[in-house]
Amino acid sequence: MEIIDVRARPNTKEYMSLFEASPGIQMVFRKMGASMPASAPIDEFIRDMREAGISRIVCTGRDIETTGGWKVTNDYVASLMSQYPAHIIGVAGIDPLKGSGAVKETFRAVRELGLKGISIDPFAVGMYANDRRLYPVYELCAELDVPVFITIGPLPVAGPYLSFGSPMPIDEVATDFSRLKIVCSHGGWPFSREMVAITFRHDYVYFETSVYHFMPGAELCVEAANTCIPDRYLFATAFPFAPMKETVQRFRKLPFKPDVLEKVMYKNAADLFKLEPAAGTRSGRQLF
Amino acid sequence: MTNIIDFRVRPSTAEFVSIADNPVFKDMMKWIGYEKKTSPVEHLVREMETAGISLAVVQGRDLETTFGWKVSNDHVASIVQRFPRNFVAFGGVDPNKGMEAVREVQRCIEKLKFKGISMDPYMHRRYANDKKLYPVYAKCAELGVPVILTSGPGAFVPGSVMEHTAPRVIDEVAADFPELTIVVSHGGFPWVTEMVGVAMRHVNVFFDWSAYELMPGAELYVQAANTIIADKVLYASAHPFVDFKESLKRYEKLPFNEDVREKVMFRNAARILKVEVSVAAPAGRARMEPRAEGRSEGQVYYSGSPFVSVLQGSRGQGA
Repeated sequence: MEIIDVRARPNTKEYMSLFEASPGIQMVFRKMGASMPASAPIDEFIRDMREAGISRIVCTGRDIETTGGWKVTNDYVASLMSQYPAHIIGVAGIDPLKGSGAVKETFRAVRELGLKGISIDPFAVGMYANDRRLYPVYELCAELDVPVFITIGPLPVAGPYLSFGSPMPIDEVATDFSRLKIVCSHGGWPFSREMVAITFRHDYVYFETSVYHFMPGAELCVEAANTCIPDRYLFATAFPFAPMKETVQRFRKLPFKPDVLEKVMYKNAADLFKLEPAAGTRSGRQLF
Repeated sequence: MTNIIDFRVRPSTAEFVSIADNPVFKDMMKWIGYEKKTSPVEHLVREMETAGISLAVVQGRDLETTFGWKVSNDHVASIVQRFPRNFVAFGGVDPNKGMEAVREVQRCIEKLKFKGISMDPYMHRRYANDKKLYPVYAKCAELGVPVILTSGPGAFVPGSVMEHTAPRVIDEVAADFPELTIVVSHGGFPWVTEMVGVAMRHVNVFFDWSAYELMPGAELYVQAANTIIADKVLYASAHPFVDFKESLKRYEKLPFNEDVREKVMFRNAARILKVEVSVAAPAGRARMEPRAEGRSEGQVYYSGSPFVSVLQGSRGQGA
């Protein structure tokens, strides 16, 4: 079975130098019991990823320059994608505080760099995902028909409020932009029930539960995938915050129905990024 | 004066005046004593020329989701196409329509060649800083066109909330979109001082105070124009609900400094609309022509204001 990991960042020095310099990120590693991998060239990362059984990753940029001075440029993400087009799906990092600059960069990243979506970290700049300053960016993504990855689970980081991790603001965004594809990163825990409900009620909301797959209570996400949202639960490791190989092995042992596991680990993401011709009616709609 | 730009005029076509029958304005119209009547656009143009109004801003208005009423932008376009020397158009959009509103902005500017966009937050039942309006602002900023926001008490408009377009709310929009030129129509009345403060602090905020010139407290608008915000205030009549001939009489009596009067009646609006005066004009009168195609670079020029001299009292009370 092929696997797409919808949230992973290569442990190149461009990424690792930022992680190493951030006390908040170090706290995440400590709390989650993971060790920070050493920097390595991109081809080593690709080899590790293949060994873990992952065929493609979604590699997200991150721009929180206005508040944290933190940035992985979208040009860098695009360069990774062009080096490994069969393995890397590049998604642009957009700083929610850059106003019109955020809109322009979204357009440039998608239309000029060819990136396949955008990623925002509202919690990192102290805003909720339904903040008005993000609405122009959502509008453009809906118009361009590319997904928005929204980080909503900053749980192990002590700085931001836990409420930034709630999926509730996503419900408003999905209501206001009913065709916008939204992927909630780290979305499935601890607000699992709410995340499932919001995904169930909106046809274009997706989520993944990276780093929280095995938390007590996260079983609900597996049960939801097996029943009401088989098409919109996705697999991600959040590498380097969790090891790829071990995560894949453990995730496959979760009690998914076999056809659902295949959807979660591959087909849903392939559908989201239009890697294959559409596979027919979405089962989420067949329920009604 | 023979060179006047009126920033708020609506021709009395059947499409425009039908608003007097809609619940949105029905009671307000009774209160101001407006009697609905249609009249040909030619008639308005003749009157404007006689009165010295060289150019007027005509706005579409889309209140479909809240009041089931609109004046289509195509109707506005048909008027401006017939009288391109007399009118410029601002497209009306309903922010409750989401992405459709943003697409309409693009259509108005790129296809219909409008000069700007107009919204009426208190009639859309949204604060001017509501997230539903933000994609519209971003699109206007991207296209380099101004947005008009209708403010004011909106007397008797059912279910309307005056604060939706309060100056303090506009302040947030102006801060979030520094590239966007914002024209607040009706001057944020009754928050006169606040309106003056917001126009003073943001290079991108302008206002007219049409219909409220003679209200108690409105003297401050003139005083502020004469002292600290001479470049930020615009003449508008709100015709036909305030007949521009009456309105012009009011403005003649307002105690502007002479250089300020010219800015209010013409120059500030000309900068926002990017029109120039050509000296060789027919009928012995200056004519305004649209500038050559293309966006002018960046911000509407703002000459700054003599804050220091005001604070020191060296310019007195102006009026």
